[in-house]
Amino acid sequence: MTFLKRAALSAMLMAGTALATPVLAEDLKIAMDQIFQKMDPHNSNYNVDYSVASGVLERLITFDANMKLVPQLATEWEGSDDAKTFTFKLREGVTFHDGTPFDAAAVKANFDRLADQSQNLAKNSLFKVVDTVETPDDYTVVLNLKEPFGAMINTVAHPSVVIHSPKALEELDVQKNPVGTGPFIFKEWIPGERVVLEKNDDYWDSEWPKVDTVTFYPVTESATRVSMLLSDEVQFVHVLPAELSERVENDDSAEVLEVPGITVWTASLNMLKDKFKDQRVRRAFNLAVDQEAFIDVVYSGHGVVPDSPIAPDTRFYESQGAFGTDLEEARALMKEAGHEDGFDVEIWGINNSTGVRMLQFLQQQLSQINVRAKIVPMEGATRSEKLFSSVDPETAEFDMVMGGWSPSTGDADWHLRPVYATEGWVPKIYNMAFYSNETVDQAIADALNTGDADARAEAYATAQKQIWEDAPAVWLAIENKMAGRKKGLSGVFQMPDGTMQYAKAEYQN
Amino acid sequence: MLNYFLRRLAAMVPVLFLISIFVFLFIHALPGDPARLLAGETATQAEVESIRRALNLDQPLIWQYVDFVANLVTLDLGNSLRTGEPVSQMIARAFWPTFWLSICALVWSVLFGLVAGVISAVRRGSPGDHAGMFLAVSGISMPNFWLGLLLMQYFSVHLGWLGTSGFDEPSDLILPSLTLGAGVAAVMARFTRSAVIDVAREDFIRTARAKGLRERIVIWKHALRNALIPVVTMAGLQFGFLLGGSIVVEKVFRWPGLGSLLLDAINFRDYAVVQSEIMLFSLQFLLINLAVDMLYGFINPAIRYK
Repeated sequence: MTFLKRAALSAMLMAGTALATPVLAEDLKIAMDQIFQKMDPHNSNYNVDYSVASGVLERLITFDANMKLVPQLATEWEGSDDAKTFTFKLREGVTFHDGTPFDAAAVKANFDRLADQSQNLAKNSLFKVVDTVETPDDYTVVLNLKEPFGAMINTVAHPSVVIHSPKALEELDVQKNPVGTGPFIFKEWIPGERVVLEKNDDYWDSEWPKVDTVTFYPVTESATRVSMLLSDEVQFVHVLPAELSERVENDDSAEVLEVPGITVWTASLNMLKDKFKDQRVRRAFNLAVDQEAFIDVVYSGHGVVPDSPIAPDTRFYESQGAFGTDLEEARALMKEAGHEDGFDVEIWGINNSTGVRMLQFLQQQLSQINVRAKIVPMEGATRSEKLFSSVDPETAEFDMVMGGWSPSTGDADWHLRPVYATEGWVPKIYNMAFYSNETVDQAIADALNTGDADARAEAYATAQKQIWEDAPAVWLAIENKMAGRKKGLSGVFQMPDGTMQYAKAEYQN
Repeated sequence: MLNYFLRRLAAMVPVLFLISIFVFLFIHALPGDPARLLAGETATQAEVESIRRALNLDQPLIWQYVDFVANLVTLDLGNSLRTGEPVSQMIARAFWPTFWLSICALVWSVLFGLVAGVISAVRRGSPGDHAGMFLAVSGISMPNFWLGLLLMQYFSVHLGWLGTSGFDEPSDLILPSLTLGAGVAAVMARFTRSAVIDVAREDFIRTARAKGLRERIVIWKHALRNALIPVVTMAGLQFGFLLGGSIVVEKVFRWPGLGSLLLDAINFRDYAVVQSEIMLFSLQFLLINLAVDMLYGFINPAIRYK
């Protein structure tokens, strides 16, 4: 072989190898447990929508993995002492995916949209208290409220309070085409099949993103989600049901992620019924139920026993000490209240397998204090109609209802007010015990009337103590939020509030 | 025959009209409030009311029905309450995945069912017959989602030969169509077996044997052909069910078909989508029944259409 031929051959070989090893595109694929509804979080109440949108549309303030507030598009913020004026300093040098600059006017366009109640958006109610939005300079936004609202900072951090490109708000249907400032650019959404995002090369934090595409699949069948993870079709599974976590744990290539949640599961006691007007009875119900065993039965042990009406990761939580299980005392209390032989109750719940397990367990536990429970598992839509659309407190048929509440602002206000304040009575919000206590209502109002964190903490401590004392519900469990992930992937994780984050996804090689 | 065909088509109109009333009443009688479901459990009542207004769900029922029928007549199916997308577009997108899945499931299961049924009939009482019928009963009794998950675990997770779910390439049809067809194959096998056994008792079979035809011809030509009428009827019926989309199989295999669409629509009380889909299923059934009736003529030329 001549020199020339050799040279030509080696050149060809080199060209060949250069072609054969292109830079590998790094794709992230994620299976979600629900179908996607809307790409516009302003108009959605679903965690799955918030999660998918979070890499495209950013908020002024967001939460870290432990639900602490951290800056995103705002760098600083503060509230006035009277909790009526909130000022946000914005990050400079940020551009939307469509080239529009991110500035105070852009934020105002979004806040005005949220505040305008005639828009009929699902999350308009979050900004009901907002009176005007001012922009003193290009990078400062001021919210003026109609009345004091101490929880406003956490409201601005709510996963639905994202900043759309003002141009997209005007020109596009943002329900289907979100345009934001995030590390990923929305590419396509095939309803029922997938949502595809692409890397934003001009992201304001030049270190991110590190993967080229992110694809979300709605996979409502849990066992299928797990199979997809194990066969490496997806690298992350959100939500992983506790009963399937072993399958993931037993696989060498995958791991189970677990964080305590902020959803508190309760069986509300209808306090308009005579039998639950007596505090001793309500206390006896709490003492009769073995919460540890409940968590074992319902969540395969993946949960914690509540020791306050709100979860430890909720802002302003204060432990009240768990009830514990004490059958002797529960029986004594029932006897004192004149119910030694118990009574009949009707418990409403959900008809999925977890919901039915909850009901059956409760039924068995209550039988220990001679309470004869009739359990009524209902299909989701039926239950929500019976509870939230047509219920009249005075004639409500149920004695007890199973329910779980998660405060998506991460603040005590959005747990205590909907579930325990008088204004929250179903069908208005979620107070299914028809609990009404002046001390509690006052404390919740006081906490909203100030921007001072210490004063708010004190008011919420009062409310938590009083609610715990009154026991309007049987507190059952705080379920852990679980997800499955391929080993070697980092920066993708589930949050205590039931959403997930993936902006800092990265593969270790 | 063309006359007959056209008359049958025309007769579908009043049937579909009756079905529309029934479907409308049925879905509105179900408890469940679309505005509340869209808003989510943690929504306040104010949020729910604003969604109800936005969707015009506060109109009287009779007007909602008139709207629905007016839309049907003009073939505009309205918009989904949940996504706002035109229903016709959603159905068009979901139709083909279900159609191909149904065809694949039907083809293998009918062929398998016919062969297994005939063999079982011929070797009635033999170990082969018992084994075949044991398989058939298992196929009918085994829950679809269980079989689907087993196949997925073995072929996708364990062996890694096929994708677990979704519909991106033709090979994705294999596992769901096996799962979906298992029950149909079993029904077809049992049906064919008993039909062939019945026909085999007839005089003309004895005659065929008596004139010295080979057993293979007797069975596969004379007996099977005469046993086909009930078998084709059953296959048509099964095809109608398959085209309705199997909610369970589509959910397990993340299949973007009519069954998944219907399940989401029912869960959210998306009236427009549920109504349109059920109307479509009804129409499919009527058309398949007609097609089956026309097929009788080809199977048995003695049948005349009047």
